Amino acid sequence: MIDPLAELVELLRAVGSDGYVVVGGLAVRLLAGERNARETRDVDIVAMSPGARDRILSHLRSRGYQVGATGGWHRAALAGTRRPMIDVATHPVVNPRTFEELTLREEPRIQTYEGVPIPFASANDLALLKLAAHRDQDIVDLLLLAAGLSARAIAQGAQHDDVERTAAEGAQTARLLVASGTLAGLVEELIGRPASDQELAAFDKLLSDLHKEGL
Amino acid sequence: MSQHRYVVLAQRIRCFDELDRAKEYSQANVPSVICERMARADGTSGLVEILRHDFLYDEQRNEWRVMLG
Repeated sequence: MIDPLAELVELLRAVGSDGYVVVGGLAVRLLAGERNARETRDVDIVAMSPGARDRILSHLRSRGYQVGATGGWHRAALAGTRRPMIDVATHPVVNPRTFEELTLREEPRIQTYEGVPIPFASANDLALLKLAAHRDQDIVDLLLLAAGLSARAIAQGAQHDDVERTAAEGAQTARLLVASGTLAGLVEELIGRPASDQELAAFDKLLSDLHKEGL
Repeated sequence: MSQHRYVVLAQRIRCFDELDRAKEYSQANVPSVICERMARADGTSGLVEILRHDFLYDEQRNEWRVMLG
């Protein structure tokens, strides 16, 4: 299996980093310093303009990737190989479950790997994407990010995009996972270690603050 | 610490010790991904994606149909 980060570096070296923002589980784990967690086989990239989208899809097709599309996303897969799949969204990001559009509002965070600048979505923007999706794995990702999040910024983003209801569903899903004791087991299964007291306290505070913000 | 060999990432995560049961749950809860816990060289273990049920090839349209979660 080719490391998704290595694939991402190779891809952005070829098409340039300008106009792209990395989101998804890979971004969460790198921002949260959980590189050794679940080894994802896909890379999620937001193209910030139609031109950037066309450039990356054209490059992937030229390398033999088969590209499919659904609801604002494109998926590129290279059949018969163990290369990661590349999922490309066009900004604003469509939530594939609800078809709501989510805006990346904050400046991306840049980390450089092998000389290539990799723009990652800010933690608050990632958190809103995760709240909107609110699968169990998204809630675990939120726990990893919680210490650095601003409930107010997340709530303002949800209001701006008119997705308060979906984000509130996500926050409530998180509260239920905490209250039922389910979250602790999910963290152990996905991250391979128990959540720390500091992480759980930060997550409790985030959920409380989100409630105060109306989510 | 409780850990299972197979973890199915779907809207709701479920964990299994047998692959057949993981496949049943995964196929009944698309889009989903099956991960297997594998040993790493450093002695730890981690989840590695082994099977995805989140896209299909549409032969009539001649294109991939993606089912993002």
